[in-house]
Amino acid sequence: MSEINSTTPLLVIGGGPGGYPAALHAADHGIKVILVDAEPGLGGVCTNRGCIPSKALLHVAKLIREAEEAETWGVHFEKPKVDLDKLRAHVQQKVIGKLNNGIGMLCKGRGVEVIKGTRATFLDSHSVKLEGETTGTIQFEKCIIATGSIPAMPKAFAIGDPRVMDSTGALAMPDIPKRMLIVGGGYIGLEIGTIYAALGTKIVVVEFTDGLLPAADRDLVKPLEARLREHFEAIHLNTKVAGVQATPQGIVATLEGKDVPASETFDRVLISVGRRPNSAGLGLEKTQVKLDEKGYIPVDLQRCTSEPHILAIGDVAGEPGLAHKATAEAKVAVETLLGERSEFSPRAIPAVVFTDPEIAWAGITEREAKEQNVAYDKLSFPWAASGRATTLGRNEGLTKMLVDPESKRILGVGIVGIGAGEMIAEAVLAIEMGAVSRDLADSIHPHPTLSETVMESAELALGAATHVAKPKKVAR
Amino acid sequence: MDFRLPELGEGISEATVVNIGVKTGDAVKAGQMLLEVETDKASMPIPATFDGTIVNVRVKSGDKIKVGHPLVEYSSAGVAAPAPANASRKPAEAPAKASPAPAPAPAPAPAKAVASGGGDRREFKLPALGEGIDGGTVVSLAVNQGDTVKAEQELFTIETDKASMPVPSPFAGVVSELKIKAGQKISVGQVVAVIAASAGVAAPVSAPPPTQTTSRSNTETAVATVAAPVKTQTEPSNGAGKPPVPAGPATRRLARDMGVDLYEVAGSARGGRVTIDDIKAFVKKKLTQPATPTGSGGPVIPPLPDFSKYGPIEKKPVSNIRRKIAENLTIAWHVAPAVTQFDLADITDLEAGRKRIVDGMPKGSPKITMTVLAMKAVTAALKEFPNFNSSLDVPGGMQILKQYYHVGIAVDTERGLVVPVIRDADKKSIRELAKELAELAEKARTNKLTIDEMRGGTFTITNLGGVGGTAFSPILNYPEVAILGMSRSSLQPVVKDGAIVPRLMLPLCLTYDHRVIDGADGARFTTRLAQLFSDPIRLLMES
Repeated sequence: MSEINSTTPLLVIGGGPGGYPAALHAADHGIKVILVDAEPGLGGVCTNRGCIPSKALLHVAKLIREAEEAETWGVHFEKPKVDLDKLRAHVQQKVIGKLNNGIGMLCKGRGVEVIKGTRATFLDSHSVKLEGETTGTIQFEKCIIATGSIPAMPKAFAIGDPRVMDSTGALAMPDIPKRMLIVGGGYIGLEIGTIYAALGTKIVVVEFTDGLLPAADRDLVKPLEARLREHFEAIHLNTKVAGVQATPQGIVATLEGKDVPASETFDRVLISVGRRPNSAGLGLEKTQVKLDEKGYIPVDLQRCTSEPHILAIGDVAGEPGLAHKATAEAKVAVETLLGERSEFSPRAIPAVVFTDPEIAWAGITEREAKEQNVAYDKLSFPWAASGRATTLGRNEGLTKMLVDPESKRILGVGIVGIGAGEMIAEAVLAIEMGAVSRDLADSIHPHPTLSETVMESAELALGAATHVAKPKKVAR
Repeated sequence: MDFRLPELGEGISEATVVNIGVKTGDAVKAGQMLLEVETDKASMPIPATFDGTIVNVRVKSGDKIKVGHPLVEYSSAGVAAPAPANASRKPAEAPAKASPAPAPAPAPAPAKAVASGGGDRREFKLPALGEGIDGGTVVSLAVNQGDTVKAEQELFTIETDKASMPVPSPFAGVVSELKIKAGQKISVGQVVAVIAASAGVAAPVSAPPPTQTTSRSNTETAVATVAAPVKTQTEPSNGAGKPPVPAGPATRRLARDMGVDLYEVAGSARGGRVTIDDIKAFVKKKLTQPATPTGSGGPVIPPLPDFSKYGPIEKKPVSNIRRKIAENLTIAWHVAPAVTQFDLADITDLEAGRKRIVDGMPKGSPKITMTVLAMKAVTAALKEFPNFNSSLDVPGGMQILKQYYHVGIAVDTERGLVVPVIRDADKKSIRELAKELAELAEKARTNKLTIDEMRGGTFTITNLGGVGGTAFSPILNYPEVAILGMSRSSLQPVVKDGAIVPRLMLPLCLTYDHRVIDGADGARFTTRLAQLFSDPIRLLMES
């Protein structure tokens, strides 16, 4: 515990993928900055209870599944034994801990003053009060709010029983339940479901809308859903979880939907119905910073809030709640503070679902194109025609490209298949550069890789691709 | 408390009071119209931003007042949220990026949101200082951060390359942030201060960046719609609603830094993508180009009124061809001061001969029309008057005299006017010209002309004789410097050898670019044409 009373040109509140890049950029450009974070380890939700632990555990799930699939190749593995303590410790220390330290070292090396384990709340438009490991006050000239978001927990589910978890609880892996209900068929629910299913849990997913991953195009979800249905016990769409009740036998969930049992008992329930901005309790009412009705902090193109010297980035500043969006906004915010003509106006923000197969997309989706009346030609390259996919025994994937019918400019790309997440960056570059199909089709992609599917989709826009005949154009 | 004339728009600093709607003692609600002012752009109502009672009306009809001038004195019942004065105007439609015709270019700096709702804090941006001026140097500051200022009070002095001038505060308040210092170079549109306005002041209208809708039906969204987080009123600097210019992030950043409007830059990479080199070339060109013939400022075009107010209307999207025609004609109109020289050619004998030959020709032969014969006359005249077969390169300081004779013939089609070109018209026989013209006209009507068939012309002929009319003034087909229009020939009484005889007279209407061709030559050209038309043997021998 220590007490301080500081003044700083720049205060960054929140040390996640928005806050710490902002602090580092600012320091690199000579702005003295203090970074305040509420947790013992830097990196925010992403490092401590989100992106990082989930991807580490998904890797383990993949190992388990691949070992199972090795059977068809003539390699036999016995069923794995999972040492949960070791798994938890490995994730906590060798993954999360390593990154916590890494971020800490970056900050130290580049001159960012870090105050950990401490919450900052506004006293007025130019000062905050500190509570936690460090107490006192900080006066600031400029401030960047990067406080992120928290899992939404509707009242109906907040029954105070530890068996009803949010993503934080689930990723802490308290045990491997025999049967788990996942409320919400979005990316968080499906990723966590994938982890637990590989570890042996029977998974039931309940989704309120008529499809998993509502934001994704249906043709991308289809191969994933088929595979999930093999690994999960059940997926109920158009179904609502009316309530949950704690009993000694388990959590009893009341379900409302067609052809769905009225109630079921589970060892654990994951509530993954979304996230909401972490803007309450910051003392913002003592400043001129306005919130919208959902609790987001509205910002302009430069990320300035309604108080020009207070900026906001990341999940707390609006959708999409993606770590890479926060990092990109961090750069814009710092450039704005440096007086440069910066603005946050990307042409594509990629999205990745790290299930197996992965789904990734960037630019406009088909659903958006239809809603906004944007004309497009759709080119689909089925991975059945991919040599690389065949060497991996995973031909269920699909790469599709939406292009402008006249100019053949690439409007959007969607991929479902293993490694989709690693492939989508090429699409982002193409869209940002205003590339036309010819640009991609004429760029030599290495063989045999899955990236060839992107090149061949572009070829389809110009006629036939090497491995797919002249397509039936699905144009609008 | 005083209610003052709020900001009315970019470049507008004063207006005339035309209509006062309130008097002393009136109770007034926010949004209620107080009076109307007229600027050189439009008339606009000025609504109250307060609830209160009018104590005193400070202006009368006919007064010329500046932005910030007190309009009425009132006692308030409460201050309503500031409303922008008549924000329903849209900025004038500017021509698409290929056109050099000037449009009042809006400040390309990314428009920061006016601090909305943040108390009464408002960002004061450097307003337009004059035509062709996009910024200057701060000479000296007249106030400090924290000072209270009155409306119109000088904040600082700026020196541009035209003059030094004071920059006043648009409204009364406290300078909560002064973002500039002496010696600093600043640009129009840049935020120079944040002023916390006193109660009762109407919010200045932030000059909206161009939000035009183009007539293209394939629009791409500018920002990735994986839910863009922007919740305030500004648009990205590449203009919302328009298809974004293909340009990579580094290129866009450079454009932003240099204040270049990407829509004005020609893209040299495949698919029209704009590269960093394109931006550099664009800026270089702008800096080294002498004042273009179009001048650095055309008239300010007022926004279109809402026509549906006056009766039913139908809206049709403008076709690509119509858009192109409009662009080309606007360019020609702006670039070349043109004169139309009228004359009459006696084609009695020529027409008689033409008819006789045509009647005797086998069926299916291409018709020898007056247009075909005109081509012969024109190419003969062009050889004698090479100035008429040239183009003018103003920045290069050169006149380009063409030693080939490609004649464009204006063809009226359902979709609009197209001009196929007959190459080497001087080298072709009348029969060949007739055949080629008939083929090209047919292709034009059936929309089968290739781009190449419409390029390369050195002179254009436009014959409306088949349609009607006595004379007209054709517009140059830029970058050609002359165009011959022909109207309907008619029998007219003419004095010939002392007697009045009916002669078939063809009206010639020659428009020429007076930068290149002087009046005397214009008349000489038409005289020569008339001479060739009036004597078939002469036409045969001298063409």
